[in-house]
Amino acid sequence: MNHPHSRLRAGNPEAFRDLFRDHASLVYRHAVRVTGDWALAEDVVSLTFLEAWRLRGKLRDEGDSPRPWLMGIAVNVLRNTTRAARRHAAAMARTPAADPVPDFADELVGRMADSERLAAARKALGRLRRSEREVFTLCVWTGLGYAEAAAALGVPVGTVRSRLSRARTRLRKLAAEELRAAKKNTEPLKKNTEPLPIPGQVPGSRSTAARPHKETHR
Amino acid sequence: MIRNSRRRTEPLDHAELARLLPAPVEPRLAADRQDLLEEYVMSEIHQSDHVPAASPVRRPLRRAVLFAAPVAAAAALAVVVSMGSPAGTGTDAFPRPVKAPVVQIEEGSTVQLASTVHEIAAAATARSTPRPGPGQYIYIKSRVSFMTTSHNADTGESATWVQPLHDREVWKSSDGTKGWLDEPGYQAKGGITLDTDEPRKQLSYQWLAAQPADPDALLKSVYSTVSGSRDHDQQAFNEIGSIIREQLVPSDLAASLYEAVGRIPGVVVVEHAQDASGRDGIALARLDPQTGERSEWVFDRETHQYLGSRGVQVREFDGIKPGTVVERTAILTRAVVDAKNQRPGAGQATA
Repeated sequence: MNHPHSRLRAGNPEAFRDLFRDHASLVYRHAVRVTGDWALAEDVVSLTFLEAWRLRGKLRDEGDSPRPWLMGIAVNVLRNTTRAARRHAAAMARTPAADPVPDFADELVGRMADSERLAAARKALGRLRRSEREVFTLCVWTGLGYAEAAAALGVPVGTVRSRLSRARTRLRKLAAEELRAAKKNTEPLKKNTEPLPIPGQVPGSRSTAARPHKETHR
Repeated sequence: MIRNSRRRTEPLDHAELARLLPAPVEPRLAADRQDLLEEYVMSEIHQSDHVPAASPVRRPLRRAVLFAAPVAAAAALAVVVSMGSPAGTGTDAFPRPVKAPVVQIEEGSTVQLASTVHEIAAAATARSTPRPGPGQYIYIKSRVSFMTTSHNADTGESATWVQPLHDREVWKSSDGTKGWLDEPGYQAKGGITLDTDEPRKQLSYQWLAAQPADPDALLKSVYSTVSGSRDHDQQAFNEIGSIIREQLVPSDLAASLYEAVGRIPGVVVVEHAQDASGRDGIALARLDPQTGERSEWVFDRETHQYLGSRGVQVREFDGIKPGTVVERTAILTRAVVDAKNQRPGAGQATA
């Protein structure tokens, strides 16, 4: 039985294409959320796969999925995008132009709102140490299991757990601070832009119109 | 959105974490962008085809150590392998991993360190070693088994699996720029190239031959090649270990190389160790403080020739239980040959 990684390690281009198709969007999603930058995230995707090709000989037969290994490479690229870009300077010079303005206006509007959310999330992430941030984004946002995150980061599983726990402590503190700040602030901060409740219908106002007789017991 | 079923088994605090700092957006890589990136990456890797993949010889941080299994276990494994190998030879098939052997941990000691190092050094000096001429290759054939997996945190299962013992052959040019690796079942059929424009010079024969014959100066030279946050003593020990395992050491340098090892802090003598072929010997060893693995280099008790190596987990780490033999090797042939993929014939100089 062939191990799924053997073709990849042997440098089979089609195996590599499969790797790209299966994981490009995962890497992209992770990169957008971590960098908050769509164009940069595309570069991170390219760099991650160029690095994966370069390092394919190091892919070991641990588990059935190359996902932890690949995400480990992505984490390294994200840690130092400049260094990775330098290593692949010639290749990156040929990189396809960054995503131009999206075709649809509503997508553009969506992106502007997304940009605000991304910026806010990045600010909160900035309160975590890098090691906590990496574990948090891999496990909570990108959905890696503890063992996968441990393999990706090259740390013991226990370390993943303790970093997550520290991240939680910090985020709780951060949430508490924000709550206090919001309470102090007496002026109404936001205008409620949510649609008003439909008039005439109040919670709990619905009642059963008719009850089948046969279901009532005497 | 596709939810991973794994999440159900994750601890509860995940939900809280996600609430504390929700993923800000659900970005989607548009299909046309993905196609474009795919074509770009694919064309780049075709262009880089002449650049070799990173050598699999250098294992990642969490590298398995080499440890000799008990004779009985090794013999049993050897039978399994010899029965299983004919079908597997020359294919891409990955032999099924086997449970790692477990041995009794024998304490190391520094009592005999100086005398053992002297004996090994003296024996190495007395042996003549062939010299690779221009265009020739250093050839090393060994029998190896490395760790494949250990702890599965998702299931909580903790079992260490290793590759069944198998053959490994390497060819290396003396400057390290050219090479070939054949490890049937673990590398592409026929082997893979180790050609590289940027060889790790300290692992090349040429670099070794140019080293000072004074142990202290040599040791300083080895330490100058290590860096980073990992234990530098362990890195130096591993560096020399790689040289001794898969390199040809010029005989006039061998003595000072072994004397240098004896001066690395933490190096001990383990009285009884076995290589991957079950050959019993005495070992120079060092416990990696970060991984809890003890790397042992096994030498023949009488001739003091290097036999192979093994890695024994001494302290539990990452679910690997103490006593687990996570890595072992046995050197079968060491020689100088005229070309890549050529095996030493009768009458050819071997070391």
